[in-house]
Amino acid sequence: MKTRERLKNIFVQVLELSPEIELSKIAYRETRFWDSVGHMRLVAAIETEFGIFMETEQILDLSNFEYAVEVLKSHGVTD
Amino acid sequence: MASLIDLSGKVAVVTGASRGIGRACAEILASCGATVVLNALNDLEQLKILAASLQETYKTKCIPFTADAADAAAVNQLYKDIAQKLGRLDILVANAGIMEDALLGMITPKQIEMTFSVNVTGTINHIQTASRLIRRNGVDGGTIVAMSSIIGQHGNSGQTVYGASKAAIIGAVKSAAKELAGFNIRVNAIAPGFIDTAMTRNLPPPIYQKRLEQIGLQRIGTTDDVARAVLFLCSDLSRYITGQVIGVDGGMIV
Repeated sequence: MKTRERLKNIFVQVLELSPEIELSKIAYRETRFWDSVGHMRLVAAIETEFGIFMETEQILDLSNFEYAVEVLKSHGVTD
Repeated sequence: MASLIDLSGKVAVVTGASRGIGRACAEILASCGATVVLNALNDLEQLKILAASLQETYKTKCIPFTADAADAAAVNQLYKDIAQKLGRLDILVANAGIMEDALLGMITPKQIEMTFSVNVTGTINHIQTASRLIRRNGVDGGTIVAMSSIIGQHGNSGQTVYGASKAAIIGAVKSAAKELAGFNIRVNAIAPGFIDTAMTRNLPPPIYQKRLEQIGLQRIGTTDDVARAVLFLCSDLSRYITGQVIGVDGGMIV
């Protein structure tokens, strides 16, 4: 499975989203369940799935799907 | 001690591990079979020697790692390495701290900044970053022990800054305990009293004697006395204890 697909699955599972969700519409503090508690659950799930350990700034700046993709790239996670 | 508590398979980080209470904590955890990451601000060579010695004595993995607790990026790198090389974390003993006495009127801004940077910011940096890794253990959770002080609870002349920083650790521990309880991560503090370390050995004899006379058990505490309490909090013997401050002071009255 490709990185974006794996990442999407995490967002869908952790934030209890519809699999049909438009990724560009997911945003921190706007999407239901993506509050601060959901945020840390999301970070933990991404880190565990991809075996990475984010920088604190990355955790704080992670506010949409595309940024999460960029974070993965910065840790060498690409297809 | 190892026969009573088995920590084999557990990974622990001890900060300020190169000497004194931190060193004793690292040793007691290693003696119970834990893999121990020994962290200190600097002096990697000394840490390497200690790690090799513990590893040889207790036949468990001990890894030296220098990082400034007050430097969030350095702390993050420490836990990133642990995640990559050891794959898990179960125990944090956030012990690193400094003490510099000054009477009111003689406290400098630099002293306040330095003390809070190491004692408070450093402790929070470690708790914050370590807890992210411990959370990955799921229901198994983990445990965090931070080093406060009897001075943080009761105060002492000449120790306004140090006392404030150690009191702040208690506030941080009690808050973190509430936030992390849902992940089965227990967070507690130890408040040592008058402990036999290089620092206390350098006190002027009259002050040293006065301190001794304040202790109910009539002897100075040892670093091992503190380490035993830390071990208790790191083990399942304390599995229903979180958000607490345990005094290890021999009944000292400040």
